[in-house]
Amino acid sequence: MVEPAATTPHERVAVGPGRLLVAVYGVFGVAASARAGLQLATRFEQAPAAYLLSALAAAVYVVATVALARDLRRTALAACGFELVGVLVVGTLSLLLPDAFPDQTVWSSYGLGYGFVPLVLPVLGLLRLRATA
Amino acid sequence: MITPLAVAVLVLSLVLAAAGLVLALLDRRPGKPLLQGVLLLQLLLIGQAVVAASLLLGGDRPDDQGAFLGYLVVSALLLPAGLIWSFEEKSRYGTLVLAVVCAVVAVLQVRLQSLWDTVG
Repeated sequence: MVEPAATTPHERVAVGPGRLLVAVYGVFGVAASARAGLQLATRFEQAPAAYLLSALAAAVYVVATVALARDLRRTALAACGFELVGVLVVGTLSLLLPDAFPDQTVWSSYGLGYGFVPLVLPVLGLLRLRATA
Repeated sequence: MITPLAVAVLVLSLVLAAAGLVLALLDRRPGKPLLQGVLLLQLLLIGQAVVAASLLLGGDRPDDQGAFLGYLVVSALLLPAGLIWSFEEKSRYGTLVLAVVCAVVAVLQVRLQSLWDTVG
Protein backbone atom coordinates (compact mmCIF):
# COMPACT_ATOMS: atom_id res chain seq x y z
CA MET A 1 0.00 0.00 0.00
CA VAL A 2 1.62 3.24 -1.16
CA GLU A 3 0.99 6.20 1.09
CA PRO A 4 0.05 9.42 -0.69
CA ALA A 5 2.60 12.20 -0.53
CA ALA A 6 0.71 14.44 1.85
CA THR A 7 2.37 17.27 3.73
CA THR A 8 0.21 16.73 6.78
CA PRO A 9 -0.90 13.29 7.95
CA HIS A 10 -4.63 12.77 7.80
CA GLU A 11 -7.08 10.02 8.49
CA ARG A 12 -7.65 7.71 5.57
CA VAL A 13 -10.93 8.20 3.73
CA ALA A 14 -11.89 4.52 3.66
CA VAL A 15 -11.86 3.74 7.37
CA GLY A 16 -14.78 3.83 9.78
CA PRO A 17 -17.82 5.40 8.11
CA GLY A 18 -15.72 5.82 4.98
CA ARG A 19 -15.51 2.02 4.74
CA LEU A 20 -19.29 1.84 4.49
CA LEU A 21 -19.43 4.76 2.07
CA VAL A 22 -16.97 3.06 -0.30
CA ALA A 23 -18.99 -0.17 -0.09
CA VAL A 24 -22.19 1.62 -1.10
CA TYR A 25 -20.33 3.53 -3.81
CA GLY A 26 -18.95 0.26 -5.12
CA VAL A 27 -22.34 -1.44 -5.25
CA PHE A 28 -23.80 1.57 -7.03
CA GLY A 29 -20.87 1.75 -9.46
CA VAL A 30 -21.29 -1.91 -10.41
CA ALA A 31 -25.07 -1.60 -10.72
CA ALA A 32 -24.91 1.57 -12.82
CA SER A 33 -22.14 0.18 -15.04
CA ALA A 34 -23.94 -3.09 -15.66
CA ARG A 35 -27.19 -1.33 -16.47
CA ALA A 36 -25.55 1.22 -18.76
CA GLY A 37 -23.54 -1.49 -20.52
CA LEU A 38 -26.69 -3.47 -21.13
CA GLN A 39 -28.57 -0.41 -22.43
CA LEU A 40 -25.74 0.46 -24.82
CA ALA A 41 -25.41 -3.13 -26.02
CA THR A 42 -29.08 -3.99 -26.52
CA ARG A 43 -31.09 -0.84 -27.22
CA PHE A 44 -28.68 2.01 -27.86
CA GLU A 45 -30.78 3.43 -30.72
CA GLN A 46 -33.82 4.00 -28.48
CA ALA A 47 -32.25 6.80 -26.47
CA PRO A 48 -28.57 7.24 -27.33
CA ALA A 49 -28.09 10.47 -25.36
CA ALA A 50 -29.68 9.14 -22.18
CA TYR A 51 -27.74 5.88 -22.33
CA LEU A 52 -24.42 7.59 -23.02
CA LEU A 53 -25.07 9.91 -20.09
CA SER A 54 -25.83 6.91 -17.88
CA ALA A 55 -22.60 5.26 -19.03
CA LEU A 56 -20.61 8.41 -18.25
CA ALA A 57 -22.22 8.65 -14.81
CA ALA A 58 -21.50 4.96 -14.17
CA ALA A 59 -17.84 5.41 -15.09
CA VAL A 60 -17.54 8.35 -12.71
CA TYR A 61 -19.07 6.29 -9.89
CA VAL A 62 -16.43 3.63 -10.46
CA VAL A 63 -13.68 6.27 -10.49
CA ALA A 64 -15.05 7.75 -7.26
CA THR A 65 -15.17 4.31 -5.63
CA VAL A 66 -11.54 3.55 -6.46
CA ALA A 67 -10.36 7.06 -5.53
CA LEU A 68 -12.15 6.99 -2.15
CA ALA A 69 -10.89 3.46 -1.45
CA ARG A 70 -7.28 4.33 -2.30
CA ASP A 71 -7.21 7.76 -0.70
CA LEU A 72 -6.73 9.58 -4.01
CA ARG A 73 -8.23 12.78 -2.68
CA ARG A 74 -8.04 15.06 -5.70
CA THR A 75 -9.56 12.41 -7.96
CA ALA A 76 -12.24 11.63 -5.39
CA LEU A 77 -13.03 15.32 -4.98
CA ALA A 78 -13.35 15.79 -8.74
CA ALA A 79 -15.49 12.66 -9.17
CA CYS A 80 -17.85 13.44 -6.28
CA GLY A 81 -18.10 17.07 -7.39
CA PHE A 82 -18.89 16.00 -10.96
CA GLU A 83 -21.59 13.63 -9.68
CA LEU A 84 -23.19 16.30 -7.53
CA VAL A 85 -23.24 18.84 -10.37
CA GLY A 86 -24.47 16.14 -12.75
CA VAL A 87 -27.38 15.02 -10.61
CA LEU A 88 -28.42 18.62 -9.89
CA VAL A 89 -28.18 19.79 -13.53
CA VAL A 90 -29.68 16.67 -15.14
CA GLY A 91 -32.26 16.35 -12.37
CA THR A 92 -33.42 19.93 -12.96
CA LEU A 93 -33.36 19.60 -16.76
CA SER A 94 -35.30 16.34 -16.66
CA LEU A 95 -38.08 18.07 -14.75
CA LEU A 96 -38.09 21.23 -16.87
CA LEU A 97 -37.67 19.49 -20.25
CA PRO A 98 -39.07 15.96 -19.86
CA ASP A 99 -39.16 15.51 -23.65
CA ALA A 100 -35.37 15.83 -23.83
CA PHE A 101 -35.01 12.73 -21.65
CA PRO A 102 -37.11 10.02 -23.30
CA ASP A 103 -35.68 7.33 -21.06
CA GLN A 104 -34.57 7.38 -17.47
CA THR A 105 -30.95 8.11 -16.61
CA VAL A 106 -29.48 7.60 -13.16
CA TRP A 107 -29.68 11.34 -12.64
CA SER A 108 -33.24 11.98 -13.91
CA SER A 109 -35.53 13.55 -11.30
CA TYR A 110 -32.51 13.82 -8.95
CA GLY A 111 -32.14 10.05 -8.89
CA LEU A 112 -35.72 9.32 -7.87
CA GLY A 113 -35.65 5.97 -9.69
CA TYR A 114 -32.67 4.93 -7.54
CA GLY A 115 -34.04 6.03 -4.18
CA PHE A 116 -32.18 9.36 -4.44
CA VAL A 117 -28.94 7.47 -3.83
CA PRO A 118 -27.29 9.42 -6.72
CA LEU A 119 -28.11 12.66 -4.89
CA VAL A 120 -26.99 11.51 -1.44
CA LEU A 121 -23.77 9.67 -2.33
CA PRO A 122 -21.71 12.59 -3.67
CA VAL A 123 -22.76 14.77 -0.73
CA LEU A 124 -21.62 12.08 1.73
CA GLY A 125 -18.42 11.60 -0.28
CA LEU A 126 -17.59 15.30 -0.14
CA LEU A 127 -18.42 15.45 3.59
CA ARG A 128 -16.17 12.45 4.25
CA LEU A 129 -13.33 14.05 2.27
CA ARG A 130 -13.69 17.23 4.29
CA ALA A 131 -13.91 15.36 7.60
CA THR A 132 -10.64 13.54 6.93
CA ALA A 133 -8.75 16.43 5.32
CA MET B 1 -36.12 -21.00 -10.70
CA ILE B 2 -36.76 -23.16 -7.67
CA THR B 3 -39.19 -21.32 -5.43
CA PRO B 4 -38.05 -22.76 -2.05
CA LEU B 5 -34.46 -21.79 -2.85
CA ALA B 6 -35.50 -18.28 -3.87
CA VAL B 7 -37.58 -17.87 -0.71
CA ALA B 8 -34.70 -19.14 1.43
CA VAL B 9 -32.30 -16.63 -0.15
CA LEU B 10 -34.73 -13.78 0.37
CA VAL B 11 -35.56 -14.64 3.99
CA LEU B 12 -31.96 -15.36 5.00
CA SER B 13 -30.62 -12.19 3.36
CA LEU B 14 -33.24 -10.05 5.12
CA VAL B 15 -32.57 -11.73 8.48
CA LEU B 16 -28.81 -11.25 8.09
CA ALA B 17 -29.25 -7.61 7.05
CA ALA B 18 -31.42 -6.96 10.13
CA ALA B 19 -29.03 -8.86 12.42
CA GLY B 20 -26.07 -6.94 11.03
CA LEU B 21 -27.86 -3.65 11.55
CA VAL B 22 -28.68 -4.54 15.18
CA LEU B 23 -25.10 -5.68 15.87
CA ALA B 24 -23.75 -2.47 14.35
CA LEU B 25 -26.10 -0.38 16.49
CA LEU B 26 -24.77 -2.29 19.52
CA ASP B 27 -21.26 -1.40 18.34
CA ARG B 28 -20.36 -5.04 17.77
CA ARG B 29 -18.13 -6.70 15.25
CA PRO B 30 -19.80 -9.40 13.14
CA GLY B 31 -19.61 -12.52 15.30
CA LYS B 32 -19.39 -16.14 14.28
CA PRO B 33 -23.18 -16.67 13.85
CA LEU B 34 -23.46 -13.74 11.43
CA LEU B 35 -20.43 -14.90 9.43
CA GLN B 36 -21.79 -18.45 9.31
CA GLY B 37 -25.11 -17.06 8.12
CA VAL B 38 -23.35 -15.11 5.38
CA LEU B 39 -21.48 -18.27 4.35
CA LEU B 40 -24.76 -20.22 4.19
CA LEU B 41 -26.34 -17.43 2.13
CA GLN B 42 -23.38 -17.53 -0.25
CA LEU B 43 -23.81 -21.29 -0.69
CA LEU B 44 -27.51 -20.78 -1.46
CA LEU B 45 -26.64 -18.06 -3.98
CA ILE B 46 -24.11 -20.29 -5.73
CA GLY B 47 -26.69 -23.06 -5.83
CA GLN B 48 -29.27 -20.70 -7.27
CA ALA B 49 -26.84 -19.41 -9.89
CA VAL B 50 -26.08 -22.99 -10.99
CA VAL B 51 -29.77 -23.90 -11.13
CA ALA B 52 -30.73 -20.73 -13.02
CA ALA B 53 -27.87 -21.15 -15.48
CA SER B 54 -28.88 -24.74 -16.21
CA LEU B 55 -32.52 -23.69 -16.69
CA LEU B 56 -31.39 -20.97 -19.12
CA LEU B 57 -29.30 -23.50 -21.00
CA GLY B 58 -32.34 -25.79 -21.01
CA GLY B 59 -34.28 -23.20 -22.96
CA ASP B 60 -36.15 -21.10 -20.38
CA ARG B 61 -36.04 -17.44 -21.36
CA PRO B 62 -36.99 -14.59 -19.03
CA ASP B 63 -37.70 -11.16 -20.53
CA ASP B 64 -34.56 -9.07 -20.53
CA GLN B 65 -32.23 -12.03 -20.25
CA GLY B 66 -29.18 -9.78 -20.08
CA ALA B 67 -30.44 -8.07 -16.94
CA PHE B 68 -31.31 -11.45 -15.44
CA LEU B 69 -27.78 -12.72 -16.02
CA GLY B 70 -26.37 -9.49 -14.62
CA TYR B 71 -28.36 -9.82 -11.40
CA LEU B 72 -27.36 -13.47 -11.16
CA VAL B 73 -23.63 -12.80 -11.52
CA VAL B 74 -23.63 -9.83 -9.14
CA SER B 75 -25.65 -11.76 -6.54
CA ALA B 76 -23.06 -14.55 -6.59
CA LEU B 77 -20.06 -12.20 -6.21
CA LEU B 78 -21.40 -9.57 -3.84
CA LEU B 79 -20.95 -11.34 -0.50
CA PRO B 80 -17.31 -12.36 -1.04
CA ALA B 81 -16.51 -8.78 -2.05
CA GLY B 82 -18.34 -7.41 0.99
CA LEU B 83 -16.57 -9.85 3.31
CA ILE B 84 -13.16 -8.90 1.99
CA TRP B 85 -13.97 -5.20 2.23
CA SER B 86 -15.37 -5.44 5.78
CA PHE B 87 -12.58 -7.68 7.07
CA GLU B 88 -10.04 -4.95 7.79
CA GLU B 89 -12.55 -2.63 9.40
CA LYS B 90 -12.46 -3.20 13.14
CA SER B 91 -15.36 -0.92 14.01
CA ARG B 92 -19.13 -1.21 13.76
CA TYR B 93 -18.88 -0.02 10.18
CA GLY B 94 -17.45 -3.37 9.12
CA THR B 95 -20.64 -4.96 10.45
CA LEU B 96 -22.72 -2.37 8.61
CA VAL B 97 -20.94 -3.20 5.34
CA LEU B 98 -22.11 -6.80 5.73
CA ALA B 99 -25.64 -5.66 6.58
CA VAL B 100 -25.73 -3.49 3.45
CA VAL B 101 -24.50 -6.21 1.08
CA CYS B 102 -27.04 -8.66 2.54
CA ALA B 103 -29.79 -6.07 1.97
CA VAL B 104 -28.59 -5.62 -1.61
CA VAL B 105 -28.75 -9.43 -2.09
CA ALA B 106 -32.41 -9.25 -0.99
CA VAL B 107 -33.13 -6.53 -3.56
CA LEU B 108 -31.35 -8.51 -6.29
CA GLN B 109 -33.37 -11.57 -5.34
CA VAL B 110 -36.65 -9.69 -5.75
CA ARG B 111 -35.53 -8.37 -9.15
CA LEU B 112 -34.39 -11.86 -10.22
CA GLN B 113 -37.68 -13.40 -9.20
CA SER B 114 -39.79 -10.77 -10.96
CA LEU B 115 -37.81 -11.30 -14.18
CA TRP B 116 -38.06 -15.07 -13.83
CA ASP B 117 -41.85 -14.80 -13.42
CA THR B 118 -41.95 -13.69 -17.08
CA VAL B 119 -40.79 -17.13 -18.25
CA GLY B 120 -43.34 -19.25 -20.05
